[in-house]
Amino acid sequence: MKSRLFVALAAGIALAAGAGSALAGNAAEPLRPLPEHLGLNPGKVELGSLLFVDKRLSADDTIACSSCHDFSHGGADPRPRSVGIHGATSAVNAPTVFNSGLNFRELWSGSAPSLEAFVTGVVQNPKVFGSKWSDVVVKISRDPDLSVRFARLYGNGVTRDNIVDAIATYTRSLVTPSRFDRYLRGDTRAITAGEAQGYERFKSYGCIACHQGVNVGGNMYQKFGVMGDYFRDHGHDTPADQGRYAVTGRDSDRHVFKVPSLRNVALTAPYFHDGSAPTLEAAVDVMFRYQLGRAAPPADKALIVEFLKTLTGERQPVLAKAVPEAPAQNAVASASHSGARSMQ
Amino acid sequence: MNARVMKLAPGALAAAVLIGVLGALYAKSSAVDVGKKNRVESYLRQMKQVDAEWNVDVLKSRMGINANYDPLVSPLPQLHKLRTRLSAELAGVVDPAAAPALDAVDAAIDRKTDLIERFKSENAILRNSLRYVPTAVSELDATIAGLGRADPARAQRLAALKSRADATLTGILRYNLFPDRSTAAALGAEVATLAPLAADAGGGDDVAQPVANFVRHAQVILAQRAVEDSVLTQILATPINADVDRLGAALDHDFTAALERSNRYRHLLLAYASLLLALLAYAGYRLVRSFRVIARVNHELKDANESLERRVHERTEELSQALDHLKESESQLVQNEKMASLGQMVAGVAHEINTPLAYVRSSLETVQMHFDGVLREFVTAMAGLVDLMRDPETPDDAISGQFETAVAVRDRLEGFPVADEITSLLRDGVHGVDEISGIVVNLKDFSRHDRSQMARCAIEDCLASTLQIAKPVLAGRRVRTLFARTAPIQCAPSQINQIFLNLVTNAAQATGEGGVITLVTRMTDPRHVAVDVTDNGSGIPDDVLPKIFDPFFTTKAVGEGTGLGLSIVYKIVEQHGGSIRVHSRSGVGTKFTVTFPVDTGEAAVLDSQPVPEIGIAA
Repeated sequence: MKSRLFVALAAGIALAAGAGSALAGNAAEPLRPLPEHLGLNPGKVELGSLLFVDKRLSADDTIACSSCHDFSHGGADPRPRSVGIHGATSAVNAPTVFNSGLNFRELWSGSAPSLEAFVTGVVQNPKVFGSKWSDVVVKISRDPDLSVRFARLYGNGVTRDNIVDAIATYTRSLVTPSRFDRYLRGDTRAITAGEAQGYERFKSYGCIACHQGVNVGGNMYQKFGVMGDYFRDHGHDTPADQGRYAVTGRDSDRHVFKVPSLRNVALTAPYFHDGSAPTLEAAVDVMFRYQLGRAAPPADKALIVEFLKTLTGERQPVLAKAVPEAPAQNAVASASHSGARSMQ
Repeated sequence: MNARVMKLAPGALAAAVLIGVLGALYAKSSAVDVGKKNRVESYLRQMKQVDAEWNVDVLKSRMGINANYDPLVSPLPQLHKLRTRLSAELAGVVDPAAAPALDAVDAAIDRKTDLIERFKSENAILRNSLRYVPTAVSELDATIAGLGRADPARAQRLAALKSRADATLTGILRYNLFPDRSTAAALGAEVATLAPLAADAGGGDDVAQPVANFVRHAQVILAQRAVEDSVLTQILATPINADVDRLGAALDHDFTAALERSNRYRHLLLAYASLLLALLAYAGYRLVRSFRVIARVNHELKDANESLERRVHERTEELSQALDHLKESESQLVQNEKMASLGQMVAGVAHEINTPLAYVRSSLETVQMHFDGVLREFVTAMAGLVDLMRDPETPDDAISGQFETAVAVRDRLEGFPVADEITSLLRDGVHGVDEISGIVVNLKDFSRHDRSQMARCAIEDCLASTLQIAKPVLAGRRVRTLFARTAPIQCAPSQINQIFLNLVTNAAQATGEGGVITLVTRMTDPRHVAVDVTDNGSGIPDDVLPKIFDPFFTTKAVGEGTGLGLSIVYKIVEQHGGSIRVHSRSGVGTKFTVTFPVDTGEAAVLDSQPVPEIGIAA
C-alpha cells in the first residue's frame, strides 16, 4: 500500500493543477476565455472587411479572401482543398480565419509568424491570389471609396503594408465568443451537464495537453502521429504532409504541425491539414489513436464531441455590421444560444 | 556690381565655412543622446526581464504549474516588440562593435524560441503520458480483478503482473521526479518484461491491451523525460540574458566612446568658440580702429581736398592765363605766318602792281609830254588871241598876228590826234589804277584780323578771293575750277582764305611753270562740303608725308618758310569742325581734300549734284 500511496502522491505532483477537478473560472484552468476588449481601430476593421471580400486582390479578379474562408462554414473552407487562381488547388485544407489572430503563428506549418506575414505572402502566392503587390495597390487605388478610406486611416494612403494591416486588423476582429467562454467566466449554467462532462473527458484523456490556452490550441507545434504513424497508415506522405520540416528542414520537425484551435471546430469540417476526417467524430477517433495512444469508450468520445460543440461562437455583432455576407453570421449564430451577448 | 560681389564672395565663403565648422562641432558634441541611451538600456532590461519570466514559465510548465502554454507564447511577441524598438533606437548609430552582439541576441532569441517550441511539443506528450499511466495501471488492475479467480496459478501470474505494473508505475513516476540515466535503463528493462508477463498470465486482449497502452506510455515517459530535460537544460543554458548583457556592454562601450568623442568635440567646440570669439573681438577692435583711422583720414582728406581745391583754383587761373598767353601767341604766330606768306607774295604783288603802275605812269608821262609841247603852245596862242580880242584897244594887226600864230600852232596840231590819244592814255591809266585798287582790296580782305568773325558763306566765294590774291603765285600755272553749288558753311572767311592760299601756294611751288592746279568743290554727303586742291607737281615724298602737318616742319631753305603753314591749316580746319586729308604720289601730284560741315542752320542743298572726286592723276 505504501507504493500505491506514493503513486497517488507522485501523480498528484506530476499533474499538479492539470487534469484534476479544476473549477470553471479557476486561474489554473488550461482553457481561457476570449479577451473582452480587442482595442482595434473600427475604421481599419471596416476597411479590412471590405478588402476581405475584394476580388481585386487576385491577379484576374476572381478570388477574394472570402472565397476560401467561408463565413457560413466557420470561416474555413468546406472543400478538402481550396481552389485558387486559374483553378490551382491548395496542398492543405484552409483553416478558419476566426480567432486566427490569437494563433501563435499562421498556417499549418507555422511558416507565417504573423497575420501580416501571412497576408503579404498569400497575395503573391501563385496558387492563391497570384498577384503582384504593385498591381493590387494600383487596383485598390483606383477605387474612390477605398482610397478615401485609406487616406483617412493611414497617412500614406494605399500601400501594400496598409492593405495588409487593414486585412490583418479585420481578421483579428473575427473572434467568436462562445457559451464555453461564459462557462469559463463562471456562468456554470452556460453549458449543460453533459457538455461539462465532455470537458472533463477532454482534459482527462489528455486532449488538453495540446489543445489548451485561450484558443484551445493554436499556441504550439505537435507531431501528427505521436503514438502511431498516421502517414504510413493513411498511405500518403506528400510534401505538405511534412509539416514544419518544410520550413526548418530539421528531421525532428517532420510531420510536425501547428496544433489547430478547436474554436468553432464543429463548423469547420473536413478536419486536419489533409482534410481527411469528414466528421468531428472521425477526427476525435484519429486523435485518440495517433496522438493519445489509447482507447476510450464511444460514450466518452461522444461527450467530448458534445463539449467541442460548445466552442462554436458568435462574431461580435458590432463587427458583423461591417461584413457584407449576412448568412455567415446566421450560420455561426445558429450554433449559439439565444442571448449570448456577454462578450460585448 | 559684379566686382563688388567678387570682392564680397571670399568673405562670405569664409564666414560660411567658420559657421559650418561651428555647426558641425556642435552636432558632433551633442551626438550622444542620453535619452536614447536610457531607452536602449530600458529595452535591454525589459528583454532580460521577459527572458527571465520566460524561463520561469518554462519551469512552471515543466512542473505543471502552468495550466497551458499561453505564457510561453506571449514573451516572443514582447521580445520582438522590444527588439524592433531597439532597432529603431539603434538605427544608424550601432557601431561595428555592437552589431555582432546584436546579431548574437537575435540568434539567441531564435534559438530559444525554437527550443521552447520543442519543449511545448515534448512536454505535451510527456504530460499526456504522465496523466495516462496511473489510469492505465488502474484499468489493468480493474481488468485483472475481474479475471482468474477460477485458476489460482493464473491468478498468481496476474497478481505478479499487477504487482510488476504497480512497481513499474512507481518507478516511472519516481523517475519523472528524479530522473537519472541508470534508473531509466533499469526501468526500460522492467517495462520490457511486462508484455511477456501479460502473455504468460493469459487473459487475452483484455489484459494485453491495457498492458500495451501502459508500456507505450511508460516508454514515452522514459524517452520524453530525458528529451524534455535536455531541451530544458538547453533552454536554461541559452543565454539571452548573457547576450543581452554583452550587447548592453558593447552598446555601453559604444556609448562611452561616443560620449568621450562627444566630450572631445565639446572641448574642441569650446576652443573653437573661444577662437571665434577672439576673432570676433579682434575684428571688432579692428573695426573700431578702422573707424578711427577712417575718421582721421577723412578729416585729412577733407583738409587735403580743400587745399587741393585751392591749389586747383590757383593752377586753373595760372593755366587760363597761360592759355590766354598761348592764344595770343598762337594768333600772333598765325598772324606772323600770314605776314610771312604775304611777305613771300609781296614781290609778286609788287610786280603785279608794277605793271599797271608802269603803264599808268607812261600814259601820264605821254599826256604830260603832249601837254607840254604843241598843246601848251596852242593853249597859250589861243589864250593870247582871246586876251587881244577881248581888249578893244588892241590893234588889228596884233590880233591878226596872234591869229596867225594860233593858226600855225593849230596846223601843227592837225597832223597829231592829241585829244584821242590823251583820252586813250587816260583810259589806260584808269584801268591800271583799277587793277591796282583790286589787288589792294583783296590784300585788305586777306589780312583782315577777324578770327572771331564767323559768317555764313559759300566756299566758292572764299576760293575766288583766294585765287585772286594768289594770282601772282599762280603765274604760269593753269588753274582749273570745278565748282558745284555747295551748301554754305559757317566759317571765318579770312581763315578759309588762309587755308587755301597756303594750299594753292604749295601747289604752285610744287608744279612750277606749266603746272595744272585743279580746285573742286563738292558735297560728299548732304552734311559735308569738300574742296579738293589737286596739282600735278612733284608730289610729297613718302617719308615727308606723315610730317607735313607738324609745326615747324619745312622742306624749304632756312628763312624761306616758317614751317607753320600746314600746321596752321590743320588747326584752322579742326577749329571749323572739318577734316583735311592728303594724298600724294611722288612725281604724279598731290591732292589735298578739305572737308567742312555745312552750316547747321540749314539743310544741305538738295538739288546739288555731287561732283565726282577727281583723282590727282586726272
